[in-house]
Amino acid sequence: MTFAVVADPMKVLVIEDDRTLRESLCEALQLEGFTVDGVENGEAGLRYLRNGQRPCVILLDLMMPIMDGWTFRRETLKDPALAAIPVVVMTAARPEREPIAPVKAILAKPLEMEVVVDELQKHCPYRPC
Amino acid sequence: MHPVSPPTPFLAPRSAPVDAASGLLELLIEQVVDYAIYVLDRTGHVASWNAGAQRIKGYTQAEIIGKPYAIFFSDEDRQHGRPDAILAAARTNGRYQEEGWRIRKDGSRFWASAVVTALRGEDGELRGFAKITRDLTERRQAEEEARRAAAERAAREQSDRDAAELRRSRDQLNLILRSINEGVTAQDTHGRLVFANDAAAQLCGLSSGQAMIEAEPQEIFAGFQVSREDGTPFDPEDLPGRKALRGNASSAIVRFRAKPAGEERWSFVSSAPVFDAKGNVDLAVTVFREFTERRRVETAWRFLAETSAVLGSSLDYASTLRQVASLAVPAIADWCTVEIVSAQGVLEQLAVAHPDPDKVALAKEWRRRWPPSREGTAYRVLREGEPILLPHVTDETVDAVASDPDHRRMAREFGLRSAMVVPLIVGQQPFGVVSFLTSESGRTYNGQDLILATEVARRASLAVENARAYTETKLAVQTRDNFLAIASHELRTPLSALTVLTTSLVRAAAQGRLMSLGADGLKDRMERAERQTRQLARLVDRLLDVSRLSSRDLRLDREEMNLGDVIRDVVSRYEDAAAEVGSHIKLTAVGDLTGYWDKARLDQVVTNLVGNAVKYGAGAPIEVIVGASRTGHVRLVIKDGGPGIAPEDQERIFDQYERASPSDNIPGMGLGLWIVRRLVAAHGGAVTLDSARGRGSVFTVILPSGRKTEDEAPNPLPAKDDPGSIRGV
Repeated sequence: MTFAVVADPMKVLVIEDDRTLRESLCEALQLEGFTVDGVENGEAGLRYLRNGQRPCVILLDLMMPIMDGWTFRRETLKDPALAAIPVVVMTAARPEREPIAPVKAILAKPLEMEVVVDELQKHCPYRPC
Repeated sequence: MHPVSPPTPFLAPRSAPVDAASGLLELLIEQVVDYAIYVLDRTGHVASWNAGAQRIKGYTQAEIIGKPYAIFFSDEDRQHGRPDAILAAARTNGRYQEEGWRIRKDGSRFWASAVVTALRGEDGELRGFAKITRDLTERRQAEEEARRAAAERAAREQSDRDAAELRRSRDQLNLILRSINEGVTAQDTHGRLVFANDAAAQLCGLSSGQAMIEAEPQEIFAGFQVSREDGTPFDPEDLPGRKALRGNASSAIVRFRAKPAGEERWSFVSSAPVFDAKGNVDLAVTVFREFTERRRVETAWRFLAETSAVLGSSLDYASTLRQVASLAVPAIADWCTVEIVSAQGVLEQLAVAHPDPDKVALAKEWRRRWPPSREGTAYRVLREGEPILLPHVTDETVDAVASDPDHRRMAREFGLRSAMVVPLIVGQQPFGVVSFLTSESGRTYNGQDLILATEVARRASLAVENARAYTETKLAVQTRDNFLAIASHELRTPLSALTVLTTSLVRAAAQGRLMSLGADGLKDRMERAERQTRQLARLVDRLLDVSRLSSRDLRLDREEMNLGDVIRDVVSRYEDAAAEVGSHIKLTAVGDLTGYWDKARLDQVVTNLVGNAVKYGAGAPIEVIVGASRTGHVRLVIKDGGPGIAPEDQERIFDQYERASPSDNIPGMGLGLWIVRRLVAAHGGAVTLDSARGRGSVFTVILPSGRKTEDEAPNPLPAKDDPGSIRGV
């Protein structure tokens, strides 16, 4: 598979409707050395990606208004360029509630930062000193 | 006795003077009357005679002298040559002696003892025979009579002894038969009773065995309706007694009742024939053993066992109670009804059972036309919680409860004989009654039966209580599980934010990067963490509040307050949030909005409704109108222009944890409207919804003033989540 645009080596996209959590996550990950963008729902996330952004990993909440995580994932899978971006799901929902299209990992809320950082680092290769 | 002429002097070949001795001797011979003493000559002809001979043989001297010896013998003896043989024997042996029959002059026989002695002269020449005969007939007769008399006496004594023995045996038998419980009868081949003990008589309703024997058999039989065990009529010819008269022993179970309306009884009947010496049937003996009481007890136990099985089989107590009523007939009653009290305190018939479905239909119609009166037995049992036994239902009893002539007529037609009405009680509170009634069977209830009926009611009540408790528990557990699931779900996101905030600070500190945040940056993060913990605390409070609202005792903290103030407060709180979605809230308040209410709770109500309008209003304008109605209630209306709620969802959204469309994923636990309804109902008010898809929603809250002089407004929404209700469990 070839990409039209090269992925930004440390860019993380956080899609989470809870403002406090979203902002906290963004800051925390920035402290860890990631470049972070945050949007509040799946629709905003699609817009972000179609504008040409290519994060190295997407951190995706499932229960969101307007467009939820399941729908977002289905939509990205339709576009080969977007399909390849690794997705890590974070959710308070019970995993067996509705299976999601293939993702790299499903992290349970409340989140443990170590677990989140480890997972994200698997997909974002570089880390500045 | 004829005087005899002097005899021919025959003796004394030597003439000798008649001396005194021989004169006496002649007198002896002449006059002795007990012996015939005479002589025969050598040829066997009579040569002398005496008075005894005359007396014994009947001939006078003149008639007999010269006659042959054979004249004294029967023809038969003469034919056999007995006379000559006797004389020959005397000749040979000197004398001959025998006892035998001799014939008198008149031809009659007599038993004689005869001695013949041959008389010889000095020269030894036979001169003649001396005959001495004695009539033994009298003696023999006397002996015979004595013997006979003795025999008769002996026989009479024996007969007396036998009679006494017989009497004693009979008396003993009578005593035995009188004291045994079984009825015993004996019939002759004509069907007449020759014996009946008192027990048999009592079985047939007669006073004694004697009375039974004297009565007409047909009459006795006609007074009873006799059936087989299965209820089919018993052909009289097949009864064991009749069969025994035909020579066959047999036994059978017999159901019988005195006509016209006696109680049904059960008896084991066993008959056997008694044969005479020739092998013909002489008597039929029948034994009756009544087992009515035992059968009743067995039936009662079986009914109780079946009832328990049915009651334990299902939680649907309405269905099990109906089954119990069916089981009761005809086992222990002709009719069985179950009545349960409604929420309004009115008895409603849950079940009525009778073997005949037509009668059941009739009874239902009767019940519909004439529901039980409040002063009647059923309500009395319901009020007092005590069972009532009516062993004999009389016309007076019936008339007392009948309200009009038609009712009275119907009641009498049912022909009730006996009744038991027992309460169904759960936790000290009677909630229904079960009635057992008899009619056709004629059965009369007693104290034992009441014990059984009360026990059945007790078990039924227990089953109902268990069903309710089980369902309540299940509901409670389900509610709790729902709550826990959603609560934990709702807590995770805010917790995440807090965790992320604090963990990142810790990690930064650990990696020595804390200073790079700067004092302001650090302060900002700490404040955010603090806000997050407060939000979590509020969330936890809300959860605890829900738990309190779920419980039955919700205590309101009422005070005199103005609803308008509370609404203004809430509206101003939501102004920013409304503006954020492009909406605004328009408030109109009219009239006296004061009342006696719980301020904090009403704040919750208004907050939830306004909050929902903002959340679901899709940015359209929101209207809040509150006013005092003419009748002293306060009316609050909240209108939004959102997507609206479909009619089929409208009831459901007031339930716990329900949302109009679960896939909206709008945050919140789905408790808002449930809280609103609970709190409004607690104030005696009501909340209604008018909405349709695409039309927006209008929520209306009606609130009574809460002051004591006012009546409570009726709550149009049924208390579906109220576990206190027994309906629809």
